[in-house]
Amino acid sequence: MPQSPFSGPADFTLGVIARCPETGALGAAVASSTVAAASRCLLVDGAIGAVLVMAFTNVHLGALAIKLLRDTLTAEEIFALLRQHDRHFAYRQVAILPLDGNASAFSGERTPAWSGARMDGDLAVLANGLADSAALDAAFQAAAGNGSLERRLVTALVGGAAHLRPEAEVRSAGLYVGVPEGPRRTDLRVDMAAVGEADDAGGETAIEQLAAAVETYEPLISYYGALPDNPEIGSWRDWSARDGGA
Amino acid sequence: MRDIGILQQPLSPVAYYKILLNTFLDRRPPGTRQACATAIGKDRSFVSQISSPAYAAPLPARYLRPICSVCGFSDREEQALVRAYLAAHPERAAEIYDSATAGGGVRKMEITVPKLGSLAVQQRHELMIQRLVRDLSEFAVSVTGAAPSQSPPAGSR
Repeated sequence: MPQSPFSGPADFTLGVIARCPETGALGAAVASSTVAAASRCLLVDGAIGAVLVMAFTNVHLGALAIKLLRDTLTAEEIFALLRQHDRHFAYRQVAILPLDGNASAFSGERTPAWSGARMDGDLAVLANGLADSAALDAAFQAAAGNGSLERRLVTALVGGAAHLRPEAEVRSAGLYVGVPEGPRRTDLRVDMAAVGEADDAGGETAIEQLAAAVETYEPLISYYGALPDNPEIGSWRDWSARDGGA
Repeated sequence: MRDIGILQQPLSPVAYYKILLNTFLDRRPPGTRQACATAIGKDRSFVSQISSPAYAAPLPARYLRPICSVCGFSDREEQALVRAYLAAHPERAAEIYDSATAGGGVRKMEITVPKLGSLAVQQRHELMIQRLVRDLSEFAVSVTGAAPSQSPPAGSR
């Protein structure tokens, strides 16, 4: 079965899903030539698991996979169900990371070439629309590095972006991290960055803007974690000036 | 296969609990479906139908707990299945809980909620309350496994 012809040299998607071994936090990130890819591709419930759905995305699959994880199904069982019940599963790319780790990934044979998946332990990377496997491999290596989960995820996108086709349009990028003990920790999006000629105005791709957002937001994670129980902590500016550099 | 393609749209609540049931049965040794059919006085094709999302026919409530018991479902499996079943058939809650509490029956509570102006918001609010009550009740049944107390707490009727 040939791969899908419905994409051009500017089109690509690169996604990563990972778990922090120290905190148990789960996260996913995606960058794409399409607008607002994160809203369709990323599903993370810090108390259940994380799912990445890409290529010709069926938005029902991510929510269903999270629900099935909650109801005791394993990633292997979920993939078997998707393969049986999704008529167009050959067009999908899916990665599943349960709460206890061990990521699984699938890359359908009808996804835009070059496409593929890498996975190992608590990490999986998916990509499509690439010239070759270089961006996928670079993202995988970068995601395996040290630092917070947010930093590892965005570093993976940055590492992969260095190996995209020159024509690739990086229009959106997003990142989501959830923790077992509470609601989301981080949810950052660049949904419609300028590309091509408009790039002159801003000068940054969506991935670069997302990396800048992580740089700004990462020190504030503990501030927003403390704020609900300590409303007198002050503004984030006060906190940053007082404690942020500590 | 008849059921291929059901994920091209949101899965119906009935199809969802059938998927759970089928998966839990698949985890058991060969012969479990036949043992299940025998225990509820039906044939194997009946078990295939009630565990296949391709068939719209619902699982009769009276068979749910016996199936969980005969097939040796874990507490987590049974809770997941019951939660999914009641999401599809909330009107069968009495039957489901009655069978789990040795005929202890069910009690009805009246809850007062504010009128929220928007019908959509109102429905969502009340649906959330129903889900919360279902989950709490299923948890309580799984923990106690006993018939309810005879003395009604204040505020219930």
